Amino acid sequence: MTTYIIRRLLQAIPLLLGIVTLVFIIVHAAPGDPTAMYVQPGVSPEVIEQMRENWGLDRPIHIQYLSWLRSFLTGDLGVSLTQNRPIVAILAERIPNTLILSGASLLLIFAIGIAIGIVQAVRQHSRLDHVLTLGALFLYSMPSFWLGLMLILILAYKVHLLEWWPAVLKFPASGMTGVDYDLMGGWAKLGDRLHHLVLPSIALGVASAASVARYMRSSMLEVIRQDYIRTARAKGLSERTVILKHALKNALLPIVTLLGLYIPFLFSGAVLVEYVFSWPGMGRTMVDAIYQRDYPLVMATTFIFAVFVVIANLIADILYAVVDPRIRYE
Amino acid sequence: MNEAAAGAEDRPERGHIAKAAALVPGLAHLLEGRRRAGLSLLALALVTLAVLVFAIDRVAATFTTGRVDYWVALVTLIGAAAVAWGVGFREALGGPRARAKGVSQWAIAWREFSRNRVAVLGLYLMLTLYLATLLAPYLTPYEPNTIGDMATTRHLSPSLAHLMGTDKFGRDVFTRVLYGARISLSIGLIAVSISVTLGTVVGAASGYFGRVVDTVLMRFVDMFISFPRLVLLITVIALFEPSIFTVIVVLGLTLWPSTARIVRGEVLSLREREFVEAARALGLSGARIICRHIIPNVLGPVIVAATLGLGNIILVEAGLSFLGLSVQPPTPSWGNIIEGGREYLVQAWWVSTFPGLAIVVTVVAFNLIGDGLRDALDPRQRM
Repeated sequence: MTTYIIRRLLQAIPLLLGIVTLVFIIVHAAPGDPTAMYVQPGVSPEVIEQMRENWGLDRPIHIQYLSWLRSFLTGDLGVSLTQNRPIVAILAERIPNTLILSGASLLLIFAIGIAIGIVQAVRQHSRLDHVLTLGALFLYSMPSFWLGLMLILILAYKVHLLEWWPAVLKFPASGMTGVDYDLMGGWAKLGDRLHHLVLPSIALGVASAASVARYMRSSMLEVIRQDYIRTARAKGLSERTVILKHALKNALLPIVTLLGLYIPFLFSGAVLVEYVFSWPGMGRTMVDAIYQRDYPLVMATTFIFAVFVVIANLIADILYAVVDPRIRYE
Repeated sequence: MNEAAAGAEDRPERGHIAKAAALVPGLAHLLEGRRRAGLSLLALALVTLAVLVFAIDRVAATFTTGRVDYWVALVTLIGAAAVAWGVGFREALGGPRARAKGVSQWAIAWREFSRNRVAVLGLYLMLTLYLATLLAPYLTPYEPNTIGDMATTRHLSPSLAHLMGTDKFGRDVFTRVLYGARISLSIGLIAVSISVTLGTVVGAASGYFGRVVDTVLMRFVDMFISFPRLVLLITVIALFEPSIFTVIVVLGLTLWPSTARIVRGEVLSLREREFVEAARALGLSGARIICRHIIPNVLGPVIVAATLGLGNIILVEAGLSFLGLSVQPPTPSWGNIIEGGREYLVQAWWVSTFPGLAIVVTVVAFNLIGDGLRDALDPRQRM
């Protein structure tokens, strides 16, 4: 087990190296370089030349590659061109926000997906099953950013026209905290944050939840047909115990592998959803950086996203090995 | 029709006439009494011919304007013609022999597919959609890009005159959604073709040759898959100039790894089968075995992946145009119409809502077809 984890960790190293290299290749294959945005009639060519020298752009490509590698290894991601401060400092502010949003979504995805999948499997071929299947089909065919806009439109704006609508269900349209956040007490602060988290995490998670439900349904159906479930029923256990205690554990196994599958998907969605909800996370930072042509920041966010995916896959693999002892580790 | 009648009269010499019938698709089918197949092939060929004759200036314009939807139309046209002639040709020359073997794998898959009512519904949805995009100029009296009278037509709510209302420039949203469908569907189709071709070749090579080739290619695939797809796309497109061609190429070049994985898995098991061994014993080259013996056997899963991928690519493209990294306004695409309506979401909800619904319907259609195809072609994966 330990050796498996260690080997899996070692395997991640070439992957990360490859990712750094790929990012480097993309930057250098692109036409123009970071100085291009300063080239204008008012700036003399000598100044541009000086800038190229300062940023090391005049050195041979393999030297640039090595110094790029070294700076990534030492955690020095450079300086943002537009904000004029170290990228590490910017990311330190933004990463937790993205993790909060994706974490909440992930919770939602698996909680709702698994629950609906179980219901569908238990009531297979019933009208409820068909309705849920159809609903899931529509939900995972939906662009997350559009769903976000629709949620904002209805649950943040239109409901204000209804007098009887409870205030708790009138959600804020953007941001992480309300304007009066600093004046609130401890619990009110938490409530405010949760309130802001609801719509973005739904927009981000619903499509994946629908797809988890699909997998859960088929996985549950497979387990229910097995002999040990018939034994459990024959013993006279209640249906509830049979499903939730005996069947659920085995049905969950294939779902764990989905975790690694959904993380990249989730981060992709986060870029769009953060943009729609003005959520100050990495995705929004990246989109802003692109509009402002802040290449070092774009590269750094790309790299961090990829690293997160590698880590998430690692965790999913290890988790799978932990929950399913039948997996061979060699 | 004269020829067909003549063919029916002197039956003994059917062989000769059937050979002549190879020139006209569908004739051979008609001669053998398969009226429905024959007539539809004939109709398909006639429509293609008619379009080529009557819209020859549009076809010529394809090469000068460089517009993507023109290219797609041309390729579709040529493809349809090729299929019609190909089928007719085979029927005319080797028809009875081919059918003597019994029902082909594709015929079984088609029968299975057409029994699946939901999947057929998806197919009809998709056909309607493509037809609507083809006939867009006839379905709406408005132009997609002409700016209306700001005082009188800005932000009109949906009505009979403007089915989906008008946007902030007084343009008819229904018209823009229709023309946007051309762009979104074209990009999807081309990008999927690129990525599926690339993925199949890489996957087949990786699975067949194994060893170093496999290790290198699959590490590469792993690396690509660990990037969040949209993040990679955004980065690459932002560094190059965002244009429709960049988007197509980048989408095509970044979505192949998943196909490659599927194909590799299939090839790994096919490689050990007797017929491949036999081919190898005959001394055929690796490339020939892959192209003639292995790839035809993995086409099922590949077609399924392509159909499901088409829906996925349309979603990704919509996201990119929403961020302004794909087709540039005023050219409409579903994503940028939604983005255009975001500013006035509350005052004019219809601008952002309807293109989103169009995306949902399209993707649902492709997912339904994809699921149906999977059940028909690849029963092991049935859910």
